[in-house]
Amino acid sequence: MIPCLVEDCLPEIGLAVVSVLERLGVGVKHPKGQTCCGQMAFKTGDAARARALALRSLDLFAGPDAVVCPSGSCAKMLRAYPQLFEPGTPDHARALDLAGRVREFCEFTLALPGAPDFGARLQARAALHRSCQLDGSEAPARLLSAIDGLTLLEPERPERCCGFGGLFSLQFPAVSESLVEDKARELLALKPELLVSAEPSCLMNIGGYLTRQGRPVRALHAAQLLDLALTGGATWS
Amino acid sequence: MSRQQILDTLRAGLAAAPLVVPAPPARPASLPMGADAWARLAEVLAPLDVRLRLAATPAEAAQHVADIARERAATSYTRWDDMPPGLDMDDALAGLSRVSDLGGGCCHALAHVDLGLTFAHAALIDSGSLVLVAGRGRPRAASLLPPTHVCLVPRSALAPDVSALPGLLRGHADTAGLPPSCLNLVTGPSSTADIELVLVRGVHGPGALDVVGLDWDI
Amino acid sequence: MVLTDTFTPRNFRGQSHLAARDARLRAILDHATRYFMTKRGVALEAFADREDHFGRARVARLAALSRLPELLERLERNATAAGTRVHWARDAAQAREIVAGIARDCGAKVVVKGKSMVSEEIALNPALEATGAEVWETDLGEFIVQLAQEPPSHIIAPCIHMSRADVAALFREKLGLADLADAASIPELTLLARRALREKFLAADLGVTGVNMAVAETGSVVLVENEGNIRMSTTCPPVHVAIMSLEKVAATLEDAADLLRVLPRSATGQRMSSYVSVLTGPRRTEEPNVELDGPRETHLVILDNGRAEVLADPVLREALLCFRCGACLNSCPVYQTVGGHAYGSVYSGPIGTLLSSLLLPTEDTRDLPFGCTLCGACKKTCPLGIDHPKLMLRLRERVCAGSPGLAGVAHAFLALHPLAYRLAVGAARAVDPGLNLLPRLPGLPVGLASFVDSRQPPRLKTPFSAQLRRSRKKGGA
Repeated sequence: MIPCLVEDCLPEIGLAVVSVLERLGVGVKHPKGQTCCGQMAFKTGDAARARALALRSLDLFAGPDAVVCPSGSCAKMLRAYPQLFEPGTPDHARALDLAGRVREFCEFTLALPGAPDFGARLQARAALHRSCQLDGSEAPARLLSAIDGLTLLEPERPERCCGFGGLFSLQFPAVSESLVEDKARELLALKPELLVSAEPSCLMNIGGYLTRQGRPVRALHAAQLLDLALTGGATWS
Repeated sequence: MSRQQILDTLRAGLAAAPLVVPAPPARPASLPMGADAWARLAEVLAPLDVRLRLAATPAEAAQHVADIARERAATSYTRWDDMPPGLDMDDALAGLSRVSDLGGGCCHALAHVDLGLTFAHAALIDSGSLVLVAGRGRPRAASLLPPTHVCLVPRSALAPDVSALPGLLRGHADTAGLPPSCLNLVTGPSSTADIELVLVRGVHGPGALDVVGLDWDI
Repeated sequence: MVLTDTFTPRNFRGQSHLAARDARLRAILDHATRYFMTKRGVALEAFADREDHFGRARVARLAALSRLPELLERLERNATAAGTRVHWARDAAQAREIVAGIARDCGAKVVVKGKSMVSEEIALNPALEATGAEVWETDLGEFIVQLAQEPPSHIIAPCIHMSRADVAALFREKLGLADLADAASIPELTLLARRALREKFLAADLGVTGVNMAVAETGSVVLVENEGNIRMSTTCPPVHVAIMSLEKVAATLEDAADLLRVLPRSATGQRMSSYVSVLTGPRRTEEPNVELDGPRETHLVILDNGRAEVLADPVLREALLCFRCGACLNSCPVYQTVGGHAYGSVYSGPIGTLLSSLLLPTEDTRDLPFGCTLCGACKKTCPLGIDHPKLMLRLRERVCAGSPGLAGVAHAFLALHPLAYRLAVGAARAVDPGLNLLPRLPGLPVGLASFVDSRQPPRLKTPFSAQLRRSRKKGGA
């Protein structure tokens, strides 16, 4: 499951996911015709449209395979599908089945044989943004901590929201900007060489802010960082 | 009219969407009352700027009360009429004037008294709360208006925590089963942090609370 | 930011915009919310078996809601038996009329009030003043903002936006203390307030407070505070009126005790607040138990004001579990940034958003549930396990019913039709691959312009699926 943001704006994240998973021996399929998981509609109170989009996903991801998603918030949306259907209906059953097969990328990778020690190596100081959308998951930190040579740093308020919140950032721009400013300040205080997160929307928000501020610290998805480390990236700088 | 409308709306709501209540987790056991009960109470009171003075005899208790009055520079006091036998402390406070005529309005009479003496019907060790039950000879204002409140705590009053509250209220009910008009939990001095979040002891209630533990069987 | 009482929930977006741009306010809020969160964190760290205690508190609240009509009747019966007069108010106007009527009946010239959000909810003070009485807020912070004629800025620290010098200047002017220096210390200022209000307590004919909980089993009201002003308000004046929102009932004393174990710890990080009063009826006047103080007359006003209807909604009624510890406010990144005033109503932050949306007309509160990033900090903090984000989504659904935003419709349409989606994205790609035109497009919401102004927007790139297809072909060849 590739989030629409990744499909069109951050395709390199998707490619890194495929690269990492295949390198670790996982067969990757990418069902055609993916658009949006319905999160946008769901979060703006449009349950009917969210349901319609959910039905698309239920068709696309029918079958026994695990569904891996490089985004905490999209994975969370897929897991919320059962809420959209009347309990006892076939669609509700399908939604439950899908919800049980959804794995956020870091979670999935951590459960692979040999995890977390995949022999990955990278000399770098990386600041980790946990993202509130991952609901306090330790998976990104555990996965990345196993990279040899990587110094993983956490900011003062690790789980505090970066202020994106989808449409929130457009409806409450000044508040959103204050929050991303706080987040950027706390992350930069760590003097990192790069910024890493398992949530593409946060990366876009924080990374975009840093770029506008003229502090171009690269913002990478956990999959990209792991991909680099697995291909023998050696040192970041 | 309003009453019936409100109740009808509530009933209709619950009928339309019944609320199923899960079983609660078991209430965690209270800490056992060991020989260290006084020490634990003192430890909880200390951060509240409350000093616990332990007395082994009535004479020691009287000495503590006299010391407190001196340290707090009190020149007048009031006390509950209903104090434990032999512990009215009038002798210990003989140098101070006692305000005892509360007939014309308790609050007015006590508005300018320096020290109020009461005793606790219970002391909750977990929170350092003193439980004061109002009643005949036990006016509420004595522990509230004077800037210093001195509270005697009999050993038999020590209780683990707030789970003791229901039993206290029921235990002090009158013959018709009515609970006392007022039961207070007093936990440290009156306090506020409303200006600049700076803690100040003593706003409307007493700025000083002194506790004398009576460590014998009463 | 200028503080006025013209703030309304309707202008939440505008007000929060101004607040977020106010550097002084942000610094104060940052300090205050961290102060409360730190104190709370320390207290919870030392709270043995806290999850079990939280669980019991939640179940006590759920049990009360599940039997609400029966418990309110029981409360009424037992309070009446204790000598309290019980009144029922369907809305704010009825509640005001009841309390003003009591004030008139007892000829009240001076009214002292303990801090009570519900009395602000029903805008009680003007109604009391209209009876000719002078009305005094007696919580120190509330007293200060009353003198300054400003709305309170924080649920448990109403004048957190003022410095000690501000307070000194205010007292100099309003309390007639010409000699008071700006450099007066905080204990000094507190003592001056004590003296001024002590006179009011002694002169008061009527004390008005809220209710933290009411116990159905005994007809008691439970009041929780630190300053002693609520004890004063329920000890000195001859008449006491307690106003409770109807959900604040506890079935038994045991339930009340379970809630008392959690509330102060979660609110202010105290094991117990300085004063908890359990009040049952007026002072006793019959032998053998004649009391010398306490009110001779006690009233309990049970206020609905929109709550009863909420009980029919299986999702939204969870908001009625709240016992107002305020922890969700301090944990909320939006509240930390904009503070209480911006919400434009008595209740602010996550729980305030929920309550205001449920109690006020929908057309006044449409923006409130959208002022949330759904980060879940509130849910994580709530000792009663309220799932604020879930309720927020339900409210959004309610607001949007019948009128989905245009952008949302377009997006959903495109997303449902992969070909159209690709074409639309493709069209954008052809015109403006860097998305540079976005901020300059007329008619786009200010928000988008502002977002793009402060953040480099993502660029459209060759889609992932195309790149993947290409690389797989290459690999296969």
